[in-house]
Amino acid sequence: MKFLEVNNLTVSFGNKVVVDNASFELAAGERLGIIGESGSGKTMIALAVIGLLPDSATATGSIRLAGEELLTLNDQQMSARRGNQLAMVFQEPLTALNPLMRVGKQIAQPLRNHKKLSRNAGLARAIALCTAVGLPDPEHIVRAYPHQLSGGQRQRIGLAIAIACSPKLLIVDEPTTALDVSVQKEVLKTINDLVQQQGTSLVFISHDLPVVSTMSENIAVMRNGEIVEQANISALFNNPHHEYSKKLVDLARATENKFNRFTIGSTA
Amino acid sequence: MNRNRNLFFGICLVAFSSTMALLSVLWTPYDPLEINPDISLAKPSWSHLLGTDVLGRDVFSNLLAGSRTTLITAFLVVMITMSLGVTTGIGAALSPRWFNRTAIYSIDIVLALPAVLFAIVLAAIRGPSTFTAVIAISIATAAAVAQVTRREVNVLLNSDYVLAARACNSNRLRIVRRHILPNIRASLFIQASGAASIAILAESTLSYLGLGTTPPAPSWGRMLASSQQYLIIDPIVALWPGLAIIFTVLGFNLLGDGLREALDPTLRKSKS
Amino acid sequence: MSNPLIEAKTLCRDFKLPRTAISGARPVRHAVADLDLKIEVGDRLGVVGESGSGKTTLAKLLLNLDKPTSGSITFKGQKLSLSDMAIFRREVQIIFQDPRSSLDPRMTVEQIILEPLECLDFQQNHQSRIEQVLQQVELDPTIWLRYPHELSGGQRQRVAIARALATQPSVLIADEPVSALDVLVREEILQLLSGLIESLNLTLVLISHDLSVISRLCEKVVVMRDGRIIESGTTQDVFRTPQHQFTQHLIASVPRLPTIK
Repeated sequence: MKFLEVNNLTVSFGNKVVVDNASFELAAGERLGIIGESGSGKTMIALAVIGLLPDSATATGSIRLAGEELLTLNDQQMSARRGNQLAMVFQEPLTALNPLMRVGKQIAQPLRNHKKLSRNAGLARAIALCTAVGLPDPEHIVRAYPHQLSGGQRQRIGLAIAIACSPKLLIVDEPTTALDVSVQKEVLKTINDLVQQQGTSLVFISHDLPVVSTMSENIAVMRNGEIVEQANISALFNNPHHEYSKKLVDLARATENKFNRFTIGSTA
Repeated sequence: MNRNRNLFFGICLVAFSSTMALLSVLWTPYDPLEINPDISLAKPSWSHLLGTDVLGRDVFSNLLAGSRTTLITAFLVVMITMSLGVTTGIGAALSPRWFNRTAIYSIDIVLALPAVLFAIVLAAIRGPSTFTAVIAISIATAAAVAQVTRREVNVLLNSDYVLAARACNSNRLRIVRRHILPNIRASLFIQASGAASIAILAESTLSYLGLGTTPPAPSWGRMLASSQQYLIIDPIVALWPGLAIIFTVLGFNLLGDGLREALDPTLRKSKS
Repeated sequence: MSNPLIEAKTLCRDFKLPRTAISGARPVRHAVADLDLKIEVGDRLGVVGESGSGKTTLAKLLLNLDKPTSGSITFKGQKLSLSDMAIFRREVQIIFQDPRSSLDPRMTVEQIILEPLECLDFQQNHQSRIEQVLQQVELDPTIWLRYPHELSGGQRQRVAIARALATQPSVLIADEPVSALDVLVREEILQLLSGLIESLNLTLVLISHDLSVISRLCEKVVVMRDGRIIESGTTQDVFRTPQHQFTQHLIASVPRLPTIK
């Protein structure tokens, strides 16, 4: 039995099917990348797993986390697990944080909800988490409001909130798309380090193949709501089966080759 | 139209009130002003469909005639409010910074004063009438419309497509005509329907207070006022003008919503 | 030696920030600081910068959509007066980043492309020009009467390109033209742009944070940071031997595919 098992997951809004019979699994400590374009359904899968689908959506199939079926849980039960056993980092750091609450308090929130920590203990842990996610000057940063921080810093706060209760499963949705390239690499490295340290399972969602390939061992390629191919990285790059995967891999290679023409022998 | 329930019911209700108003120009069952103390506070019957008020005047006839006042007020207020408010709002948004600022503060001052205050001042100068009520309500509501419009236009002026229009050497007038007005249309409809509702309620209030339509001209607000004294004896008399006001206001609100939905291309199903 | 097509000299653009103290001057953000830039005819220039580097402000200044605090911008060696504006705008056009917000949602494709033709008084028949330019961007004529929300991201960006090309400009300024698009669509649009620039002999100023996009379309590049140009040269030189530390950092941050075992 794998840690996360998704079987025949279908998510629809009325007649419109946005995730069509998706199945994949994830072992403990493993990293899975889900790659697809906008509208491919990749975010919907994440929302289905974390239980944050909009009310108008219906999800059928099975999502088992450590053997427990998540789709049959009610809101309250799911709330108890969200932020605790499983957590998500969202794409837009600005909108994912409460603009009216200091970031330290936001990090401490899951700790106080799930681990019943006191205010002071929560704040102390928040400071420790800020260090863990690579934020400078944690004692001062916890008192800042989101708008006072840069995009990269906000995303790290989002990460800190997600890992606060040491979840066993971390879902990360396009975490660096809204960030500048110079900051991207570092944020990704931080995520990788944390995940390896804690042995957390990671689901990494993105549209960017080079980024996904640095963040996962296995990749699921999504298109129009379906998973068209699943393979480990080297299999996907050496021998993509589906024509869509072939297009993506060829394109990524071609882009990189063109770029390499300029930077081969680069002193960077 | 089938799917747009708001539009459907809105049109029905407004049409109903308008029909009443038009009808009353030609014919009412009785002269609304005719006093008949013998049949004071009569119950609804075949001869007097909604009964009579304390002076024996036929309630139904007064309701019909009162709808004229109400709808004319609503119409005039909407016309004045929207023209004044929208032009002020757009003008303020397009003007240089310092003027923009001055405009905001001035409008805020006007906003802070209730319509009733204007009505009192005007009534003191020219004597109360439907006309002074219309002016007072229009000024007060126009300030709110100007404020909202100014804010929206400011946002639109910073959008990429307005920037693109400027990159094509489009002049200001053209930008307002082609890009600003169509994109605030939805908001304008809602504000207009809001203004109509406010106008109807405000007119009723002002007549009730004696600052609007003067007796003996029929007005729903005054019908409410006069029936107040006899509520214990005959509460039904207050019901009819009250319901009339409610349904007309509701009708305008639904109409505004319905028009907004009907005219918004982004809400239309795409043809592809 | 002929004049550069567009030249910016000691260009500065300051934005006043909200007050932080009751007395004293308001804090100022130097969006563009003391910038010199020469764009020659036929250049394919890339402007590399991250958010906050001032690249979009620079684009607006180059297009005369914003007034510099100090410094000057000349077109063909001359400062622009109001009467020259129409000629300038016919020659220099822009494509914006987000096709969702750069097209008026209440206008059909036809109206969108008609606008520059009308405002800039394009001399040839407008209808046939619209047809022509839609063909150039490889869009089906059935798209005329559609609204932006009925089109895909790629189609919208093609309409934006068509609008920019309508008056047959000689200079195209593209501000992050493919950043908001999906990977496969991005490729199509880049190919389209590449082809159009060649066939129409356009001078290109491409603004992007994406180094691979820049390397695709540009032979020269400048790197902006905090409103200043910190490095410039041919794309080859700058990417291969970056002098400035920040440029080196940018190049090293580009995500790479794993080496295949």
